[in-house]
Amino acid sequence: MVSHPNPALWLIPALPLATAAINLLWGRRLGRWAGWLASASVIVSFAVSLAVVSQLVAKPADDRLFLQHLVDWISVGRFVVGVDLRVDGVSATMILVITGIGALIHVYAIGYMAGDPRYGRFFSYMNLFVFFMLMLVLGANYLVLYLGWEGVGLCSYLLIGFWSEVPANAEAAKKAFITTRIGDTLMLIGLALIVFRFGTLDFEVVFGTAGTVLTKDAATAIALLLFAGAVGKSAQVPLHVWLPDAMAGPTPVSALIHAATMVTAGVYLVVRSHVLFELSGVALTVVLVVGVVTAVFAATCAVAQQDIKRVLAYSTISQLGFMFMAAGMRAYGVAMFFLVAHAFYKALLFLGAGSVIHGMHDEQDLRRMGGLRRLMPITFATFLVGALAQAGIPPLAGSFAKDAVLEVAQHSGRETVYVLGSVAAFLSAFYLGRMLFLTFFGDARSDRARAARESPPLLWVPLVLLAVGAATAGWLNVTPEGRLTGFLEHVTGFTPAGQGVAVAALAAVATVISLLALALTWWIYGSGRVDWIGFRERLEPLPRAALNGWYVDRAYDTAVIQPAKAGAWVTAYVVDARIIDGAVNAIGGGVKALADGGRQLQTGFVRSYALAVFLGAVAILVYVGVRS
Amino acid sequence: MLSGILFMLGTVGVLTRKNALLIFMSVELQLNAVNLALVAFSRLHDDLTGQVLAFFSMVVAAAEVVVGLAIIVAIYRRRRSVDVDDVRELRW
Amino acid sequence: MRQHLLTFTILFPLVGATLIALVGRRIDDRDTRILALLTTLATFGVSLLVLRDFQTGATGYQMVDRASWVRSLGLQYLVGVDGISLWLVLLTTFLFPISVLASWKIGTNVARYMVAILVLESAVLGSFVALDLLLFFLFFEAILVPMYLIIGGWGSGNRVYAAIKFFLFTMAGSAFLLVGILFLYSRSGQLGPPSFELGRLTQVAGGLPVPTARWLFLAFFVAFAVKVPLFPLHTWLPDAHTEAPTAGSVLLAGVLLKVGTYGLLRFNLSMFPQASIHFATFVSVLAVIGIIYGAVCALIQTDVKRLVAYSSVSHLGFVVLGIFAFTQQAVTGGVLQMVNHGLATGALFLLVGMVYERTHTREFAEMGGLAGVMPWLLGAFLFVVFASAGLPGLSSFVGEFLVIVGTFAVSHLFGALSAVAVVLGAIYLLWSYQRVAYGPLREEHRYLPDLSGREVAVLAPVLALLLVFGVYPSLLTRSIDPATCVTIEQVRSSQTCADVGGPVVPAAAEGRQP
Repeated sequence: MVSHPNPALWLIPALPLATAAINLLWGRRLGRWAGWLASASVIVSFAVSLAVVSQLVAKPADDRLFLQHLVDWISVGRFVVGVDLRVDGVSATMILVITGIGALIHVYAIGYMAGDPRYGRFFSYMNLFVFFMLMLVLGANYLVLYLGWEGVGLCSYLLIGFWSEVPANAEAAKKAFITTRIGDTLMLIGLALIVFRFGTLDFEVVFGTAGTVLTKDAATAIALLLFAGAVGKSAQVPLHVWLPDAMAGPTPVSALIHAATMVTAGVYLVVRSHVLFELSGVALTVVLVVGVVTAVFAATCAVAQQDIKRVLAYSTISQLGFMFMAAGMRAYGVAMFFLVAHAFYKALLFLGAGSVIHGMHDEQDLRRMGGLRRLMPITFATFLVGALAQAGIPPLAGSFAKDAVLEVAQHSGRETVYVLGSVAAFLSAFYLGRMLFLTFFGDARSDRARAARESPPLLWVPLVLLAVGAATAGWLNVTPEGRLTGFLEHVTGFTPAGQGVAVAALAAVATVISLLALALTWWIYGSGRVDWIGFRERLEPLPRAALNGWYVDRAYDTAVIQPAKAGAWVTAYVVDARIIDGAVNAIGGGVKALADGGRQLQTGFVRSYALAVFLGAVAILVYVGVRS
Repeated sequence: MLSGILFMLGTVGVLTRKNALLIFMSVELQLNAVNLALVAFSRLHDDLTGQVLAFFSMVVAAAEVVVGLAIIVAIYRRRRSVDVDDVRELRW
Repeated sequence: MRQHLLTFTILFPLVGATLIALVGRRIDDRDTRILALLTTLATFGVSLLVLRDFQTGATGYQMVDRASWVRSLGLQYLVGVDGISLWLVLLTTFLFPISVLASWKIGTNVARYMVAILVLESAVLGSFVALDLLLFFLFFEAILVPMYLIIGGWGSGNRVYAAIKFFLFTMAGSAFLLVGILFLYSRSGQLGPPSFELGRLTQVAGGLPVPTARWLFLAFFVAFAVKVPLFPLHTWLPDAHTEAPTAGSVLLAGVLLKVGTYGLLRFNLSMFPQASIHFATFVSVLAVIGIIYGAVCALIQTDVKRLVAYSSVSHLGFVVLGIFAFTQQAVTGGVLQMVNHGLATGALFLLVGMVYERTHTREFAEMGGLAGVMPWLLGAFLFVVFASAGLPGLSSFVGEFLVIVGTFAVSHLFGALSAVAVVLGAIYLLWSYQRVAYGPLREEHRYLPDLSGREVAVLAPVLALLLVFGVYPSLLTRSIDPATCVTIEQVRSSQTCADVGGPVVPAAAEGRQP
């Protein structure tokens, strides 16, 4: 591909960075304006992104690459890494999603966070996040990507723990950061391996020469290490445990970071590095397996959650699993398409949930909701769109995406994946329906539910916009070759098409499955005919286990955290304090003992001294006598 | 040979006596014994070095006696004793 | 004039110290402090001149100043600076005014305290620029006494034990160094008039039989290893750091420890290249153990200062690992980390000191919820926590990354193990921040003041540099690089500066691949 320099690329991340700094330093003085400033900068960033992308699209298909070199970051010996930005099909998609949906979420947050004492700081962190996320996807080499990668982790930490007065929030933030850091460190080792093999981290060089430079094993190692980072960041099994707890953060945070963008970074990474993954068949299989397992596992957990946001959290984990499934089957374009669609409807669902929580005066428990569709009609309508979209009801976006994934599975002969994927899809529709009906249908089950009122426009306007997006995004990929996948093709490589059951038939089957699940949930939760509380109690202990994520957290605690703490205690207090330091003090003690013994010689008696002199003289004489 | 006997006598005196003055006298005995030996050998080998050395030794002995006796007198004034065993301040 | 800049840098603090010693009793405490501050700032100013006149890209020593002392014995005063020592000198002159400013609240025996600090500054600066081994030893030992006094005289609870332990431990190590230096000196006569000059003694060392060179390497190594501190000779550090007054800890961590790593790089590597290669695996193992062990011990500490002390053990393990990997990236990364660690850990100690001044405790159990009370202080704390944890964009990341990458090139295993420290670092650092900043607030802490103007003046420059060096490390690397290249070439005499990766796998040092 020929690349073109584009001097405007730096503006895209620079704007949010600038406003982040402004808000951090003068946020208190700006008051309400802080939120508008922050949103404005993301909107402008979106505009610039649109401009750049349209320039990109205007170019012929195999010519779509913009590069911008900013400055040399590290330069030691022959190892040089620059701050380089790159816009191609994949990153173009990402920046539009990040800035576009990001802008809507910022506007929503203006209303949602109004009155918070640290309003300015919140928007500063949000902007900072957008900056880092943009750097992540705009990076032309792995180091800039890693900068963004860690940076979004930082912002995630800051934002999850934003309401720091509540200890649980800080705990959740720390858990998020550390869990992802485990993945990040493995990724770092992967980067070191790349440097070792290629001498550089630049994408063009690495992907261009990978075929000749890497052995299959080396490629597998690198790919798996990079994927480990993705597993952490995108909350896949087994590093998924931080995401449900991360719901402690304000809802806009959950929407932006934990639905639309940061968690998708892992998918982006895999898609971006697909050359490396393809050189190693094993890595792709691992990705696929992890994706499938996560998709099903998380879906089962989502079904049992009582907190509206936790349902969505597990749902996100599950949906990300779908994306990795697609990637693992080399359908990178499909994975990206799913990412875009998911960004729309997940953000929508989260913001909708936020609206519900807001309207219910900070109530998040599903059991205490009910009947809100009459009291919060706009929220209900948009939420419905989002739920149907994810559930996969055509012609909404989610259906095309989900169907595409299942279709690839079926066509490539992976029947197990197809079946399991369909199971996950069924569960997905199920928990969505459950959430929908418990929240909006039936009778209000608490005082707050009865007193609920629709949210202000600042909240529902973004909802509506997102709903439109969720509904229409599917058209992005609707032509037989898939417009979006085609657009991405030059970066992602051609997806092998398989043979199998006709596409339309598969789509029909998938839709039926979803409708079935929805109907089932309507009957259980929405119609009022089933005592779903009793029904759940009779299934115990399964629901409780699912609620607790099948006790993975507890397993980690027992198997890893407690032994680690004990080990650390032993190291510090036994090995260091007693053994090593003991040795040091023993030496000191030994010297003192010697000295104590030595000073016994100082008797003070003159005659003993005289005797000593005499004996010494004799000894010398003897010695001299013997020597000669 | 005579000097050897004298020297041994002096050494025994130094080691066994308690009275500071007596110890001193024994030291003098040792020194003189040594002088004797030096002069004798000098005579024997026709070398003046031994006699010169004997001179040195006598001078040093004189100085040493002065200082030593002064110290003993000072100690006596303090403690009314010339018993060596009584003076053991300089111990651990 | 230009030639004597380094000498001025060393002398200024001494002049200040003498002044204070003379008039200290007659003038007010406040004036004493101001005098000390001015002295350190003046020294910093002179060092900036050194920086300005330094020619980046040139190898070899610059601004060499020489004066003969006892010609017949070859005793002389010889100083010079190169890419490696340049930034260490600057780090030193930068941290000292900050430490003086941080010591403003010291109330007892201010004059003596300031004298000790200033003498310490001269000693440290001398160590970094001495090119004559006896002169180096002189300065090296001279560091011990003022530091001992500072810890013992103005520290906390267990200070006397800590100070004595520090002093004796370090001195024991340097006894070996002295033996080594004297041995080399005794042989120096074969190549001309006897001398302690670094260049000459390197030649002497080059001509020694292999076993002798190895023993000498070890002799030098022990002294520096204690100072770094390298596992298992590190146990003096936690006590010394914890009991020292704030400025003492800052200087100890920020500057003193670097003399150890500097010594390893400057002397062990260039004087005993074959021995360095021979012992590289052994040293690297100790370094890696130190990295992980330090981090693990830090995890479980209940005293925040002790935690930071153990984190120093961990971070400096990185530096040593980098130095003994003998690749351009690793060694430069190591030197970079020396500077970074000085800034980051120095800042941590400053902040911990500020918290201590307010809460009068170092135990986590007695803190909590302070973020709401002192947002700027804890904000700075958070910034430094992330800097120390190696967040990209802040300085420590570049150094860490270079060391990991550089070490990886010669040993996958060590590179991977050192990366583990990254996770552990995040854990103990974030956890400590959490215990201080979040959670329930004690009533008596409710009205604690946030940062004062003086404290902002103390912290702001350090934090600024952490950001600047993180974003633009070339400022440092372009002068460090040529110098480390020279050292590496001395070690790996068979090839020019080893670089990382590329289709041609670089030759590994003997027996290094695990």
